[in-house]
Amino acid sequence: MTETNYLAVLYEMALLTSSEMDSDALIGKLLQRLLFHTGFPVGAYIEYDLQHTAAGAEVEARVVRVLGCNRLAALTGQVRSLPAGLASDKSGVVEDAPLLARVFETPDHSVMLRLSVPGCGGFFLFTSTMPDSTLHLVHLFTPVLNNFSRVLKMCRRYERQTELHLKSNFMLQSVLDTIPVRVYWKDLHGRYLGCNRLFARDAGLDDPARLQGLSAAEMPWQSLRQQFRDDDHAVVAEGKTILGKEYTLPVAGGRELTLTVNKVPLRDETGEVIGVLGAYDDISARKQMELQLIEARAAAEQANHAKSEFVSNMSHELRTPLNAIIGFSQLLEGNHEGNLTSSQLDEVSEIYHAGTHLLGLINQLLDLSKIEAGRIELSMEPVSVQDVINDCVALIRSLTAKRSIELQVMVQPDAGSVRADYMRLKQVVLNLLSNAIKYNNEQGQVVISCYRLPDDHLRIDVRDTGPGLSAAEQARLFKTFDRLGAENSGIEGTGIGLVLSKRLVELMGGVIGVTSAVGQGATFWVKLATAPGQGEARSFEGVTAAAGPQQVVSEIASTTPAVSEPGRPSVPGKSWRVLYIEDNPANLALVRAIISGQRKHLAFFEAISASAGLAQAKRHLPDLILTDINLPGTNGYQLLQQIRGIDGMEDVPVIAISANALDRDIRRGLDAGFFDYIVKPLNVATFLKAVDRAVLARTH
Amino acid sequence: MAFVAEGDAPAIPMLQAECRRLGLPLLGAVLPELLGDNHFHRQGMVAIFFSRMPRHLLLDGLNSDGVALDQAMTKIAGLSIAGEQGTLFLVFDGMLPNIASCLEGLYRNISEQINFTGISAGSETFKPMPCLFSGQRQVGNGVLALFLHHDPGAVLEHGYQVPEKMVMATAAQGNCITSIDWRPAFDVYRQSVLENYGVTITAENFYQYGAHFPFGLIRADGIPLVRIPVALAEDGSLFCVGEIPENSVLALLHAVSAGSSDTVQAMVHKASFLVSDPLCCFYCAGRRMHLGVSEAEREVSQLAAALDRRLIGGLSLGEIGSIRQGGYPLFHNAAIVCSSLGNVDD
Repeated sequence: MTETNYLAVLYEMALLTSSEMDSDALIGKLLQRLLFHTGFPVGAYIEYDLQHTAAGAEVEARVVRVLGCNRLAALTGQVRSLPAGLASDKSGVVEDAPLLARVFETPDHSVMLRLSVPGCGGFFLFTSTMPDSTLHLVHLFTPVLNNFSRVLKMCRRYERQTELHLKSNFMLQSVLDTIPVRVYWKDLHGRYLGCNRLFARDAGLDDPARLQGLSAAEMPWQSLRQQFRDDDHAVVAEGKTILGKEYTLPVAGGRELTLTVNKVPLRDETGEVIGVLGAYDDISARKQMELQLIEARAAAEQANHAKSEFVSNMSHELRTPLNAIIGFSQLLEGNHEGNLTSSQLDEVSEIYHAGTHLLGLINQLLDLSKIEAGRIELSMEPVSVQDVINDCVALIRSLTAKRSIELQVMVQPDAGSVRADYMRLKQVVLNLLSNAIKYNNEQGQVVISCYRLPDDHLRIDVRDTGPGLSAAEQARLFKTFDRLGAENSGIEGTGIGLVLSKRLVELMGGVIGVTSAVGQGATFWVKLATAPGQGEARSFEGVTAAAGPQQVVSEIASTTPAVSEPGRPSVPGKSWRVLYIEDNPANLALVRAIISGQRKHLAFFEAISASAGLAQAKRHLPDLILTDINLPGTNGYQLLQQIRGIDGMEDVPVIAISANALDRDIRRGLDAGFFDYIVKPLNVATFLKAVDRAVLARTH
Repeated sequence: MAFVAEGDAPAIPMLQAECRRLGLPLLGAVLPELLGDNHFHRQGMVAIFFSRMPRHLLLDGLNSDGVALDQAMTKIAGLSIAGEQGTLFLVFDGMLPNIASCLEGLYRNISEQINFTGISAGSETFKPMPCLFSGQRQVGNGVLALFLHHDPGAVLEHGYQVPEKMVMATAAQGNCITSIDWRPAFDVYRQSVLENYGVTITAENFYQYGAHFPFGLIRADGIPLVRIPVALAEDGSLFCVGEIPENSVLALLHAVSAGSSDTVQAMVHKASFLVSDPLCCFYCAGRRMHLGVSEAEREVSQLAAALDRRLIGGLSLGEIGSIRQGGYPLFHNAAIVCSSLGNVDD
């Protein structure tokens, strides 16, 4: 071999060592090339660390790659202990067949050429016969192997970094693919650099990597391309951040997504903007749900409206016959002709009480309906609890007398006021008192007490000495129509009162509850916030209601059928005319009877339709007109306008008498210009008061 | 096993039919000429009978992509069984441009300390032909592989020496050298031959002179790997028998001289383990072209006499083996290879 030959081999080997970045492939190629050049049939690349091995000690070595011998190849990956003579940082020949056979388990090889790779290990070439000369091989390959050592270290470092990079990328991609948000990033020219799997799917790609290099022109959302471009431009050029912008995005597969889009500038490590980072949140499901909610709410409102209408209509329809029942029974109870026997008066009284009970039920149902529809209106104001309790006690006395119940009232002197609706609080307290009396034992006791709590609240307790309630029964309280089995007890009730009370108390910002034990009576309580600045003391009152022969108390009892004294305006010689327009003959007959029986100074005219009523009005120019609202053809409101159009009738009082008993009906009537609005069934006294007031107003 | 002279290749189907009729398994290859009685024969057949048919494979389609090639080599590697001594005898279609790569792939797969020997077969005119056959089929672009149990291997020698002057194949693919020293390959080749040997080579006489002035791939142990240029493309590219890796350092070799007995002596020196008679001998067609028929026959006679064996075989288009017995196998040109070819006590 000449010098030129050596250089040629070196040149070729130098090229080889720089031809691979994969360390395993590089080792394999170089090993095979060494066999090619040396003619040795078997070779191995073995790694060991001499720096950390004591001189003369055995060296821990790992067999990395073997060619040409199966038995030696079986050691690949194994760590072997090499005697100091075998593992060395110097190249050389070992001719020791027993040693080689023991260490490498290859009895056929008596000669080993070690080509040291500095800092790494060495190539070990094996053959069975000693070559003519190996010295030149040792010298020849030394620079090649020095170079290989450096290249191998670089390869290994590159592989470690690549592995870390891949792991990091994999982790990042896993995170990106796991989050339920579409993420992408673009360069300054609008080319996609990467994305997560969700975004890729929208773009119609099965692999996020396939998005790289594509532009918006290749995406399915062409209709939004310009808007996206404008957004991107704003983010890149102005460093703007776009947050929560909503888009409807057409995506692959013909679907549409509603998205909130967030875009921020993508910056490099120096803070320079290098693109756009976008994140889309799919709110399609939420939008759909919102839409469904809106639809459901509309449907519920419609259903609620229908229900309210139904309840209102039912109320109207039920009140109309009740008007006759309660009205006539009131007239009969007055026994103005004096021809009713005591027994007949009792029977009339039963009719009247049954009617009022039914009316109470209707009113409670109406209230419940209004609460459920959220249409109940409260007049929240400072309310004196003492006044409420006094009112209630007055109303409830007849019931206590009937059942021989002792009623005690204990109001703390400085109880003061609560923030509530007076009438509704009264309704609640009355309900609790009524229950305490109704469900009490005969000759039992009811104590209503009121006292302040430390937390600016006031509590009203209604304690009875009844049979008490078990825990299970308590759990069933405040539920609609659940009377805890009292349906068959003969005690009147609807199963609505407590429910209504609870809703009313809660609407007033309070709490209602019960404490009870079987055999120990029950205490129903209401807790309400005190009214600011309304805590002035009142004198403590302890009242014991004496049992006495009084009327049964109910809601309508506040307007008892005690008939008013007949009133006559003091205008001598004046004949007062009253016109009643009503299509229901029973109602007509009732009012006719009331007026003719108890306001004899009034001339009574009647008409069964709006047109007939108008004709009567023109003819008689009445001083007072009473009219139904639900007249066939022309309703009461239209009729009112037409009456106002008659000469001389511009100011005549017109009172509406209607079974439309909702607050809104009453308000509407008064707003329309009716002098008064009286709901059916008529309370005779209330009715007569209104009539007298109207006549009096006309007089003035 | 049958080696059929190219001149009698048309008779192969008849041979196959006859073997099938007799129930004899058949493997074989077409060689440019046959060797027998120390002479080359344009016609005829050399038949080698095995008392037991060796494990063998006949594969084609080796000119396809790398995956198919790897799969083929893996199959061949499977012929040897761990712990078995023996020789893998390979006959490649000489038209394959990647025989050296096949060998490297096979060696990576086989990892078994066995001997390798073999040749490449086909027409001396380098016309594609289905030069490999079995009893059932005849294929080209393939390899015939036999594992010869207990066979001690072969002796291979070419005797070519490495000169001092080197060139570099700066662009090469497979067995085609496009440029040498960054110039068209033929220009450099022609200039080198003219400067070193005073011979003017033209496109017309290229084939006549190529065998005389082969390239050598330089190896560190000093023994070059001969690559005989056998064809010239219009763009000045040179085609060799055997691959030339890109950026290989090449030498324009001194071919063996007529009358030299160096090659024979080197072979005899290593052939003590070849005990059978006759021996199988394959003589490179390019070497014969360089030396001439009579000189080649003289060399064969000298070898037979020195070994004291009869030699049968033929002309080969390339030779597989190692200069050192049991050494790393390479694909050579211009070599003589002798083996027992399984004719050993089994």
